[in-house]
Amino acid sequence: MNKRVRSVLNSLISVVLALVLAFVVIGILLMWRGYDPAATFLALFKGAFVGKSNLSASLVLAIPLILGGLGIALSFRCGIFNIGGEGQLYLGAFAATWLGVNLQGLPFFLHIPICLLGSMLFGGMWALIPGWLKIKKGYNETITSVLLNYVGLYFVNYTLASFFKGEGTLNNQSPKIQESAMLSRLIPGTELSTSLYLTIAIVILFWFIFYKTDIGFKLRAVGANGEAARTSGVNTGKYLLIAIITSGALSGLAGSVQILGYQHLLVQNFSPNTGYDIISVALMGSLHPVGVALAGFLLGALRSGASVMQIMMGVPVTILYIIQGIVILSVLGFSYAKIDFIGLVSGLFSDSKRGMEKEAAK
Amino acid sequence: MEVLKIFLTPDFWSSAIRLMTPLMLAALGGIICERAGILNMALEGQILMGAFFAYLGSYLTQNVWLGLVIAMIGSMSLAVIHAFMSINVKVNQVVVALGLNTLAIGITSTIFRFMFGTDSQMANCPGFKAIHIPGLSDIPFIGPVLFGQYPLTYIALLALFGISWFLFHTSRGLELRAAGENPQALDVAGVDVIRIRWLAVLVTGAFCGLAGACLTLNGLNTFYDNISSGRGYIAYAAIVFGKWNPMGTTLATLLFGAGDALQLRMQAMNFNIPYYFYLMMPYLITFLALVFFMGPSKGPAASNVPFVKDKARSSKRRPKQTSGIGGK
Repeated sequence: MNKRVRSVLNSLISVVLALVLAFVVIGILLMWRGYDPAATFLALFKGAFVGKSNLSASLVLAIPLILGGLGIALSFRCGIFNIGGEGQLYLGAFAATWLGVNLQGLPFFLHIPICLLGSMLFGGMWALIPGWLKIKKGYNETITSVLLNYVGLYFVNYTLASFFKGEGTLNNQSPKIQESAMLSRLIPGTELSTSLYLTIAIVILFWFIFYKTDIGFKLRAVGANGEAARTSGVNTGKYLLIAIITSGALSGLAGSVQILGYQHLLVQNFSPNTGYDIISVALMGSLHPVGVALAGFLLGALRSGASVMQIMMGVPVTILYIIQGIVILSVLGFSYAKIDFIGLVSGLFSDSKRGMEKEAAK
Repeated sequence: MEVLKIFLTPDFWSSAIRLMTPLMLAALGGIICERAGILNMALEGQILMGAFFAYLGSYLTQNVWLGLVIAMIGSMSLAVIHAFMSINVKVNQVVVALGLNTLAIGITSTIFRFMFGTDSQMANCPGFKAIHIPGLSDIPFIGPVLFGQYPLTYIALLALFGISWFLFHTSRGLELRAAGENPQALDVAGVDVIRIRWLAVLVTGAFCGLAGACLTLNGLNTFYDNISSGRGYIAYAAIVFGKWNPMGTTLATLLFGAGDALQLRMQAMNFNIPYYFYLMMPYLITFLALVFFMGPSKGPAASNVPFVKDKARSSKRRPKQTSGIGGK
């Protein structure tokens, strides 16, 4: 078996094993509380995949997770830990909504791209702050980006309670965006919009750039071994900055597709915890674009299935976070412990320090 | 300026200290783990576990001190996974922490719903009462600020002195710091690095349990989803801020506590600014202070580097290190 196929299989196996483990734990928990695990899991599965409306609900929830997850995967692979997705997502959604509301009389083929680009710009700029502080000043990017999450989130909440509050509503929410900024629906009666095509295109584009171009090669080189990349003449700071800005831009996009796709206005806390969930998606997908797409779809499906499960079985949706936590931990554990799974996953998390150690040993 | 008057009231400083206590406990605990070379971003999840199990324990046993013990057990159970994953399996310590934080949200909110249902009628548990230290609490200004607090605040103050003394004045403390700076040298000296790191992570877990208990047992006496709301990350920022030093870290948490107290006071003053603006302030102040006043700080050299025991001193992974303990 060739090495690549084997490594892909390895990560697939580890995700499947992790899921099995998670469901065993949840099953025990359910039995303790007197629920029927089999019926609960069946309801979860049906709610996720069976029927046009369930399946499209899964896709709707998967789209922002995939877009944001790609960004996180990029930043993690380059060795810059952007965990500011939450703030970037909210600012992106804010920018898109603001442009969607206030630009008037534009045709849709101009209005939609402007809104999307605006969200990417805002998300990217919000990520630029920790990125720049890291590269130029040496601040730990995890801390600055987490602090900025809260600043961004509360800033958006503040705008919705003040100058960006829609008229004639008691809730803190924005006005509705113009018709010309709304993405059209793919299936009538569901919330699935053309953002699905956009997402697929971005996954393919991401894969192409990351694996087939010079920029992609350098990005990977910086992540695999920063010191070696630097000594061979790569401007590592520049590529780290590209990585974190792109990552922020994709998080921003993850916010705006929800607004333009089906929400059509900005509500406070419209997408809670998504900025952290995309980190789970990136890790579950082994930081590979195709893996991220699959992991994002899986998590979206679990999400939509879980709400059906809650209605049918009375089991709280919060068990999803247990599943998510167990899956991340086990996938991570399998990849590092290298129990039968050698390959793709193991090389991904090697940080520059380990790279340096390897070099020193040579 | 009306706002400036706030700073002169003992009331303000008293609530600043009350608000900083959970951060201080978590950050002081975090220092132990960080100094031993384990990067701990899982403070958040451990505080959440502590908060929930403090509530649950206190509710079930109807005894607030037993609740505190159960809180520590709850948060330490998360610490056990953290220690195993980062010390034995040697995974990336940032990433494992994010997984643990997600797991903690899941465990706490799910068990909360299982036990108490989804209706908003919340059962209160017994909580702590403020202790006025006789004599000392009568001192003007300082009395109500420092000596009229909840018991956990006194515990936090004791921990501050205890941890400073332990880290810098005992040989165990030296070993712990060596585990974070130069584990290879410590190993050569015959000290078990793995054991030190395990103990450090567990102690951090216990402190996070206390920090979590502050959130639920100090007056609130109930629990809600994600009650820790980022305090673990703030505590981590405080550690970096305080340059891994107990005193500096405590001052950093005071900064955040004061920011939090200030936003509460300003909300009450009715400036006609939506209160989200005030909610943003502590984070913004911390961020700006970090960037403009502190400068980047360097942590323990072996932080986030898994320790691999050097079996025959010919291991390929081993960098050549000849400097003594504490050297880089």
